[in-house]
Amino acid sequence: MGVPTVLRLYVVGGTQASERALQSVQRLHSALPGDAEFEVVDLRERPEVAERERIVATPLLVRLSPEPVRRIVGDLSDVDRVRWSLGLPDEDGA
Amino acid sequence: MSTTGYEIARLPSGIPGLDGVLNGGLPQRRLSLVTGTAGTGKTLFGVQFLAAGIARHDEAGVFVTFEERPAAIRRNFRSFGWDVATWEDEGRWRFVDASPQPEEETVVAGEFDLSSLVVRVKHAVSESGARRVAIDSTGSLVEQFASPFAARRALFQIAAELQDMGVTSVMTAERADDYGPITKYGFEEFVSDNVVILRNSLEGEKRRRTIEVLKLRGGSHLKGEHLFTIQPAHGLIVVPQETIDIEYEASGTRLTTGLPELDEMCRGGYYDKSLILVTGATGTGKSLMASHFIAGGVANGERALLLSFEESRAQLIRNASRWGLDFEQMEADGMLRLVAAAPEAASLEDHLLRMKEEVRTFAPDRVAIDSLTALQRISTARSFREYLLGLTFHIKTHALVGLMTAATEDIAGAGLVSGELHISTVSDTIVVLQYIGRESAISRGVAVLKMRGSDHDKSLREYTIDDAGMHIGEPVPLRTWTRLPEVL
Repeated sequence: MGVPTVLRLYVVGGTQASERALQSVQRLHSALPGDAEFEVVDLRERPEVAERERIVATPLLVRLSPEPVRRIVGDLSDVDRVRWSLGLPDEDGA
Repeated sequence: MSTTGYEIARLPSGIPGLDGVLNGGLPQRRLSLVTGTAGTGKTLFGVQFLAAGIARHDEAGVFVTFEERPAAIRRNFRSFGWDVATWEDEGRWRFVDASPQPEEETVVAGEFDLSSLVVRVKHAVSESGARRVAIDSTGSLVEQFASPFAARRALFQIAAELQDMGVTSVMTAERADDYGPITKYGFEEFVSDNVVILRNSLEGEKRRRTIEVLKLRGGSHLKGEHLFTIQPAHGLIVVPQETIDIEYEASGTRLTTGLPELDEMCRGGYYDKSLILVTGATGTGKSLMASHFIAGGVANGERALLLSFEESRAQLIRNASRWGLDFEQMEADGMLRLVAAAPEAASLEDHLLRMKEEVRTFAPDRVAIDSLTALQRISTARSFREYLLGLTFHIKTHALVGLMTAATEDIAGAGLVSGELHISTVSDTIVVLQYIGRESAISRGVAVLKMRGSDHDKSLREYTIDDAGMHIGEPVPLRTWTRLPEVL
């Protein structure tokens, strides 16, 4: 049992890039450990979070755990790059 | 100056002098782009725009920073008298900090936009009720994007959102060269219909700061480059160069020259609202002529301002007393103000601002400047010309009579001063002092070379100087003249 994986996706609802990111993460789910936590925050609903976290560009995926914190900006369409950044196995399980 | 069919509403820029160039201020509820090379004062422009809104118009402001940290901005602009930290506590100033966070490494995977930034700006604007937004600067923003296309789209997104918010905003952008492409990346200028350029060029060995309004959609403005300076307690101050196409109102009122004989030569004295140039070789008595001009005005109940770039106050007072003129008493009576400044102590723009400030606070009826030559020594031809135009404009619009002295290079004759073309163009009256060879002795003569709008005595008259000042005598017979300079 390792440290649980905690991911948070910041989006701004209604924007193209954010909508695409929400689709992209579906493809990641299968690669995530069973106990992984995954949360989506719509900054349009919660602007104070955007300010507090000083977020400029969205969509933004943050891996809060395990450390170190990883930040990936973009619509996550480059899935291989996302997996690699998060330290997740490839789609074929390699 | 050009005027289009309609004029959009303006908002005071907060930069003294600039609203004159902008014909009222920045376009209200619009975005204006301010571009300039490094060190031109772009950040200062943005900060001052907000500070003026808060301090003078009770309008809150939001500052979006892509480059400097808020802490640095709070600290760096205190010396201008702007207490950003207190304004933040009062809820009148909000930062949106988009400066790079070095501790956070971010991987890019796919397309992104700046919607989160827009959310933050909207949030800050609605919470503070801000009417002004400054964004500094686009360069560091653009660098975060892999493709210029994406950067351009992001900038347009921000510009459109700002417009929807109904705020008046200023966005700064870098450029590489003072006279090159408008912006570094070549597309920022398309984000806005209003573009202002700041320049900081070296001309000779002199730094020359100018501001130019390149375009202003739906509004008129003054064209060309206008000088500006950066003052510790004020920030940017623009000196509009308004003179060129202005027709000055002519005046028929005569004012004393300070010398009865010269009044006679001028058919009653100098005109009100006119500019007089006194030229002469060294030692001919130009400063004395200026002193008579000052004392003559004071004797008639006029207030007089003497700006000397040649001598100290003490020296001015001593010289005047040698000619029987009591400057100290005149100052004590509140009729005279003596200002002595070393030409090198400030830039030409600052000297001009100083004069304006003195005119504003002392409210003189006449002004003497001794001498232009001293100022010319510290300036480039271009900035000197702009100084002259600014001076002329100020004297005429304030209905003053102004007298300037200038030295001729040629000791023996009456050759004109260098840069004379500009000086004589702005001068309504030219009085020449010159050495004349008369019989076997050298003496001195005075002539009125030019007097706009009036007939005048064209003879050369001999004069002497003693402890009561200058005494002008009879006309010198023509054949004994050495030579007179040609009237330009």
